[in-house]
Amino acid sequence: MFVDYLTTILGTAYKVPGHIEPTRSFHDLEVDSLSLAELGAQLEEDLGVTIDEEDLTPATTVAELAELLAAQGAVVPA
Amino acid sequence: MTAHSLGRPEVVITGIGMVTPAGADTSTAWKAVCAGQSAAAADPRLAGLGVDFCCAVAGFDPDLVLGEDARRMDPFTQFSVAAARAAAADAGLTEGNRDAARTGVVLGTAVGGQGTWEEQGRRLHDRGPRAVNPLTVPKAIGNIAAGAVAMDLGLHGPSLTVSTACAAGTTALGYALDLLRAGRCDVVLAGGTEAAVTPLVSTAFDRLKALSRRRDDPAHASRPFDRQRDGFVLGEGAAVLVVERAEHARARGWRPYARLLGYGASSDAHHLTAPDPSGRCAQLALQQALEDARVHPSDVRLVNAHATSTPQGDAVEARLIERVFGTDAAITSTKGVTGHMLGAAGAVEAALTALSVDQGVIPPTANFEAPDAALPGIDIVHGAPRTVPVPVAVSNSFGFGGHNAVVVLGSV
Repeated sequence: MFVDYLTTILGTAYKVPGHIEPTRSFHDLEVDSLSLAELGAQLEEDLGVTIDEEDLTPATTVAELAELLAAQGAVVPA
Repeated sequence: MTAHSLGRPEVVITGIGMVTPAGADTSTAWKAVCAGQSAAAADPRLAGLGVDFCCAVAGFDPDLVLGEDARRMDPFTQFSVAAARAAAADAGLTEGNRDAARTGVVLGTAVGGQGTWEEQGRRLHDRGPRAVNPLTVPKAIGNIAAGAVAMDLGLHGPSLTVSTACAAGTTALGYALDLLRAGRCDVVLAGGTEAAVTPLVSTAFDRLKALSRRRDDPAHASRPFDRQRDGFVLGEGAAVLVVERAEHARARGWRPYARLLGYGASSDAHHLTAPDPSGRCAQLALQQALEDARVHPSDVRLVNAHATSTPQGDAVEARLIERVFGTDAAITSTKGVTGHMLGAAGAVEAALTALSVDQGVIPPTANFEAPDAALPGIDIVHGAPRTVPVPVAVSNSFGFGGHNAVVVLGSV
């Protein structure tokens, strides 16, 4: 469920172009380190989760981040 | 004399962009300034503070103008990028008619991304380190507005920020003139930007007793040169001017608003905040600017004064104007409408002066009702705009720390 949420954010606020395949890493999607730091902070703020630095790196895939959010019991904002 | 006989290139102003309390575009701002109606009003950002009013930017939606980029910008950068885009469009500058490597950016600001520092400071204090936005530094550092303008417009010439407090917008124009005369650039986007309407900045100026405390009547609080003036009104916004070597403008067939004839600068070396009461060094900057422009004081028809509506500052400037120009030049202070936009003030005032030179219209000094008997009689335009040819005009700026900066503009 977080996959759609994340791909929407990445496509709008972070300007990732085209279709976003969840199996791709942030490095593959050309999300730079500044954007990754901003994304982590935004998710913590909006979802009330805690994301450790080692869990959100350029090698992390969108699907892995979605799983992490689900495992933390986060709820997709309305 | 022609430009060639002076042995240096002529420099012209070919585009103007503004985001101000009087309007978020040049046409709206010019009309409001000419109407002489103050933009000062109570501001929810300052609710409950000693001074709870200011001149806020009106009619500007950063998300609409800048889209997702707005999120990564402090308002001082948002204002400057919007103003720079407008100025470039107004000047007809395109990728096809300018060399990106020879197009520079010089912006002035007094305090930089202050709102971002304050907001993130509150988050750190209230919620700890994880609540601090990782983009805080690149949003808030003072140079980032100039960097963002270069990025937004794809310019690769020199870009820098000058910080001379309330003279910064004028200092930026002076450095742009130097870059163009030295042959380092063909075009410079020069101006100033400020977004310092924050609880801390407003309170700090109030604690310094610099602000008007006319809380019951904000619309009449900014009243430069008036007998009842009691301090300045904090303003915010930006102006960017496209300043260009005249031969470059001619080659692309663009008609300028005005010529940028000269610049002068000096330092009071006197006091942290107060101007030297003798006005000696402010006068030095003015005389240097007139000499640089190769004009005589009697040529000057308009002075857009720094006059911020403080008792002391306006008095020093009025005496200085009288000494240099007598009653020959018309005087206006557009801060009656816009309030004091700090590092943006000089740029906005130079832009308005360029419009005065271009159109032969001098805006009135809003809220000037009765002269101060302690000041010499100078010709303060008030009540209504004055229609008169303005072949040569001066714009003064003076800043905390004793920074004095003056530009001279001339008709085309």
